[in-house]
Amino acid sequence: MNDIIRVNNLSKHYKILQRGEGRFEIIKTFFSRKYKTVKALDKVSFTIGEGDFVGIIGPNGAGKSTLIKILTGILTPTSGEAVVTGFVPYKQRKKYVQNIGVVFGQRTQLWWDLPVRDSFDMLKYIYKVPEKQFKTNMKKFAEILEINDYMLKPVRKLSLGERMRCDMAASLLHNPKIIFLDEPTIGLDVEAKYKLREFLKEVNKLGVTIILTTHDMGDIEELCPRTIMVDHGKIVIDAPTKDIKNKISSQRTLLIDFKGAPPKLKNKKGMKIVSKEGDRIMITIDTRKHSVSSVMKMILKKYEVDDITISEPSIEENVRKIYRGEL
Amino acid sequence: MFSRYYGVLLIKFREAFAYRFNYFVKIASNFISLLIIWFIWKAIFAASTGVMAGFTFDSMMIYMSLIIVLNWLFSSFEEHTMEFEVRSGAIAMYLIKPISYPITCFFRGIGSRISTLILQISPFLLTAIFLVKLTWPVSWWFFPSVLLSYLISFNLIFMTGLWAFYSSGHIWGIRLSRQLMQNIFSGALIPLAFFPLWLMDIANVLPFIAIIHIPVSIYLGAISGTTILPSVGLQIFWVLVMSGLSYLLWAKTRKKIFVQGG
Repeated sequence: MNDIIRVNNLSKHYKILQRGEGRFEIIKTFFSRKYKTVKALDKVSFTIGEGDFVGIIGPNGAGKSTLIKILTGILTPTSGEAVVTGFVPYKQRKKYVQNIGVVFGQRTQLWWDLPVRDSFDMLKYIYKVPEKQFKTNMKKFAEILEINDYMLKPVRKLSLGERMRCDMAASLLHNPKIIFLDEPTIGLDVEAKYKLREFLKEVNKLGVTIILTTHDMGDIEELCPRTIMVDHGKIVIDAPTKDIKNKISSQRTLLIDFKGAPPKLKNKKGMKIVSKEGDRIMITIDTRKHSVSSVMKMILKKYEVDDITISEPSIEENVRKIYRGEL
Repeated sequence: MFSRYYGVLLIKFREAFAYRFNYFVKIASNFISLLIIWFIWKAIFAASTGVMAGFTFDSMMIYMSLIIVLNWLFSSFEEHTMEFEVRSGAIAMYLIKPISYPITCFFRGIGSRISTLILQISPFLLTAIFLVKLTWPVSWWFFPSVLLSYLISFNLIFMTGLWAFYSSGHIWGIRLSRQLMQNIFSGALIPLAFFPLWLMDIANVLPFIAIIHIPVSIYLGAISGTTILPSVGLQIFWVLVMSGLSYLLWAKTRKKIFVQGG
């Protein structure tokens, strides 16, 4: 397969204004400024093949958005190199972006006070989309994304889910080879998320390469065969999603409220008592050793229980653990 | 070459029609300012011999109506837009498209000005013909001269807007200073003919004189015959200087662009 994205030792450093603590610091920094260098990306390298669907995941401030912004030609890296569809994004921006579509979950490229339709008209001219292609694409979007009902509504009156579907259509109007999605499912409800994921699968089947950043492990499991995990500007893991899934989903936390005083439980292999507070006990289970249901059965058989809560560790915790080599 | 920008122009043009209330308010405010100006100058002329610095009351009213019309060309709304785009990071939505940001700003300006021409300026001009006995310009050179004014003004607005990149998105201070200087030294507040010589010397070396003073003087015939060409030449000079400066500033800014948020 051909590599559509090649990233080599890419780094981006920001200078950030620093303010010390103390009563007069705020005035002091007004006159004399100290800067600190932050490495948003630190020598990142990877390649992505044509037609791939890759998820980039990581905690807030890990460098995901910076990476997307460099790959879409918005930011210039401090050092290193990126080549996408044969172009260097930040050097040949205008020629390059004709080949890509971008959706930022927290922004919109639609015109706030005008009907959705007008924004599509604008994009038609900006990308020089031929009339015939415009018509077939609009028909396609109307079918799969069901956006026809609100084409004449002003964008500000759309719900977040409706707007996201329109934004998605807008990014595909000019038949891009790659689309970059920066947290596209942020804030969407279950139904809207489902529809969006189904649509993305369709788009990927047509041969469009998709790069997606997200906080939602669900997005990645559902969509991306390959996951790149980023933290502190570095790639922590770059592996098939199912491998990562096996690793990180092996731990569950049980929070048990007993009726009356909690019994004395002992640590076993793959089962650890983390804390004890009043009637409440917190246990972590390694699901490779014990299944959650077997542990629950064991406890429910012997003791009287008020409530049990099961939780998966958050992505943030997982990434940090992987980073520290604990998983 | 610019066909991609037709989309930008079109959407900005359409946008003006989405704000109906805004349109009525603006029309009303134009007439109210004309009324205020009328009363002020009526009082001033009542205390004089009838001609001041070459102006009669009637020609002063024509001058002031022209200022109201021309000010629409120099409206600084684009600065607000740029400021917003930098501060919120919305500028990213332009950078991911195959268009240049400065040229986009230019065509957005044209789009919104065409809509104001239709919605606001035409009704104002039609009534002004009766209210202040507005006549046809003395020389047709007025029209190219206004176009040159627009180009100078656009560059000034654009550079002020770019300041947002260097001040984390806040341009209130620099915008206010520019507007104040422009109002005084372009002749938008009072005609430059009222200036003492030393103040006129300052005005002569600033670009603002080419924005309002020159086209209005051509309109009224104060600049005519052999003085037209040097005046228009001065305008062309400022167009070149200002475009060059904008270009350099943008090239420098593009290198250091950072997009906030998200």
